[in-house]
Amino acid sequence: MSPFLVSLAIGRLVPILLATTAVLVLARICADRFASSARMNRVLFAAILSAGLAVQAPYGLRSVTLWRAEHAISRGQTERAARSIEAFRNLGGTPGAWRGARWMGFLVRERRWGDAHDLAVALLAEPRPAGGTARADLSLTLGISQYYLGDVPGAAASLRAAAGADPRYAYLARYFEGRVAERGGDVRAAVDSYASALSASPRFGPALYQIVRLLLAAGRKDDAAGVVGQVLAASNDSAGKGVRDCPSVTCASRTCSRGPSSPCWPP
Amino acid sequence: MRVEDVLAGTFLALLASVIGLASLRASFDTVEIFWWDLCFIVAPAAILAFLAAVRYGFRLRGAAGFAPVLGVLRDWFPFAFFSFTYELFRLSSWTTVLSRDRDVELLRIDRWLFGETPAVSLQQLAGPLMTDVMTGAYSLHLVLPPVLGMLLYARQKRLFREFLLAVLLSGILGQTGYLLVPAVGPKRAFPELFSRTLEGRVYEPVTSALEAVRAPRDVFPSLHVGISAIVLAFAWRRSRRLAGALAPLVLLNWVSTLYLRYHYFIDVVAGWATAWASIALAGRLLALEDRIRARWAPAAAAPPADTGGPP
Repeated sequence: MSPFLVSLAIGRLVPILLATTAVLVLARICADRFASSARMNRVLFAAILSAGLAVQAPYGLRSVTLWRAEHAISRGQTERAARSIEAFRNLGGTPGAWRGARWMGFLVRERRWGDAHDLAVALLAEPRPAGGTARADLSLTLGISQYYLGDVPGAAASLRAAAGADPRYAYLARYFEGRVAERGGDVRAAVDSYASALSASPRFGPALYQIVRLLLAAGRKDDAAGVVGQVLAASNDSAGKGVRDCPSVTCASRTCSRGPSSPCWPP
Repeated sequence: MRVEDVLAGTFLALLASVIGLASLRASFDTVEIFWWDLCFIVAPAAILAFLAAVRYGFRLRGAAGFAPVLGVLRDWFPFAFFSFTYELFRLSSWTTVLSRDRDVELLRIDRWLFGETPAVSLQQLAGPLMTDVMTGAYSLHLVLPPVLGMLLYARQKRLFREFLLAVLLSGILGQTGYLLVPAVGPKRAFPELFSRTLEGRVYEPVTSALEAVRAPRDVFPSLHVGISAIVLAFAWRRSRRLAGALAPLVLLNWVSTLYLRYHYFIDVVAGWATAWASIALAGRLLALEDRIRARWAPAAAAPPADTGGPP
C-alpha cells in the first residue's frame, strides 16, 4: 500500500478513534450515574454507545468511500474510481480544492469529460469555493470538459474565467479559445489565439502544432516556417535545449517541411 | 477601570474570538484533508486513549476510572498543541501581518556563505531515485517524533515529558521565527535558479499532499531540522543504539530540506539553534518546576499552623 493511502487511512481513522473514545467515556459515566440497576446500566451504556457510533457512521462511510476512490485512482482503475468519486459526493463528502484538482486531473487524463464536468460544477458551486489557483483549476477543467462535450460557448466563458482567476493559465485558455474558434469556423481568430498562447508559453507544443497546421492548410508555408523559426530562435537561451527537443516542436518542424498531409501529432 | 473600557475590551475580545474561530472553522471545513498531518502526529495518543477508554467503558480488568484516558490526552497535549498552532499559520489573515517576504535576504546570506544556496548546487545530484529517497526522508517529520514519543512513553515518562516540552518550545521559537522572518523558500521564491525539474514516482503525490497542508510561510527556522535534531538528541539519551539507527534517517531528513528546495542553508542552521535552545530550556524548565513543587509540597502536606486561639 502506498504511503499516500496509509496517510489517508490514518487521517480518517484518528478522528474516529478520538470520537469513539469520547463516546465510550460518556456512555460509562452516564450509565454509572443514572442507571438504577445493573440491567439498566447495561442498556443505557449500550444505547449511548450505539447512538454515538451511529452519529459517526456517515463520516465512517464517507471515509471508506474516499479511500476506495483514492485506491482505485492509484491503481488506475477508471470505472471503480469514477463510481467511488460519485458515491463520495452523493454521501455529502466535499473533496476540497487539492483533492478535487487531483481527481479532476485523473478524470481528464482518462478523458471522462462528463464526470470531470460534473465534479468541476459541484466544486465551483460549494458554499465556500476555493480561491486563486484552485478556482482557476476548476474553471479550466470545466472549460476543457465543456469543449469536449460540445458546449462551445460555455467552454469559452469558463476558459476566460480561468485566465482571469490565474494569469498563469492564460496560455491554456488562449489555446482552447483557438480550438473553440476553429470549431466555430473562425480560422483567423483561431490562429490569433494559438499565436497568443505561444507568445505566453513558447514551450507549449500543442499551440505550435495547431498554428502550423492551420497556416499550412491555408497555403501559408512561409508563415508556418516563420513561426517554427521564431520558437527555435527563442530557444537559443540556456533553457532552449528543452524546446528544441520537445516532440511537438520536432513534429511541427517535420509537418512544416512535409506538408499538412502528413501530420505526426493528431490534433 | 471605567465601564467603557470593560465594554470595549470585552467586545474586542469577542470579535477577535469570533473571527479567529470562524476563520479556523472555514479552513478546516473546506478541506477535510487538512486534518491528515495533525492526525499523523496525534495518532499514538488517539490509540492509547482509545484503549484506555475501552478498558474503562467495558470495565475490563485493570480499569481505573477515566483518569487514564484524560492522562494520555494530557501527556500528549504538547504534540497536538504544536501541530494546531502550526495549522493556524495557514489562515489567510496572516497575509496582512506578514506583508513582505524575506527570501532575498536569506538567499543573500547563503550566497555570502557558499557563493550560492545549496539547493541550487544540489540539483546536480537530481534524479528520479534520489528525488524519491529525499521525498521519503522529508516525510519522516511525521513519523520520527510520534515513534520516539511512543518508545519513551512506554518506559521513561520523565524523558517523554522533557521530549514533548522540547518539541513544544521549538514550535514556539520556530513559529516566532515565521512571524519575524516570513519567507517561502527557494523553490517558490526563485524558480528561475533551477534548471532541472524534480521528478519521481512518489515525489509528485507526496509533495503535493504535504504542500496542501503546509503553512505558506514556514521557512526560517527549519522545524524539519529542529524537530529531527530534538528526536536524535532524545534518542541518544534513551539508548546509543537507537540514536545510531536514527542518525542516517535524520541526516537524510536535513539534506532533503535543501535538496527538495524548501529551505536555505541558513534556515537549517537556525533549525539546529532552535533545537539546541529548546532542549536546554526544556531541561531547565522541568528542573524549575521540580524545585517549585518541592517547595510547595511540604507546605501543603504540613498540618495547619497553630492559630494561637483558645484550646
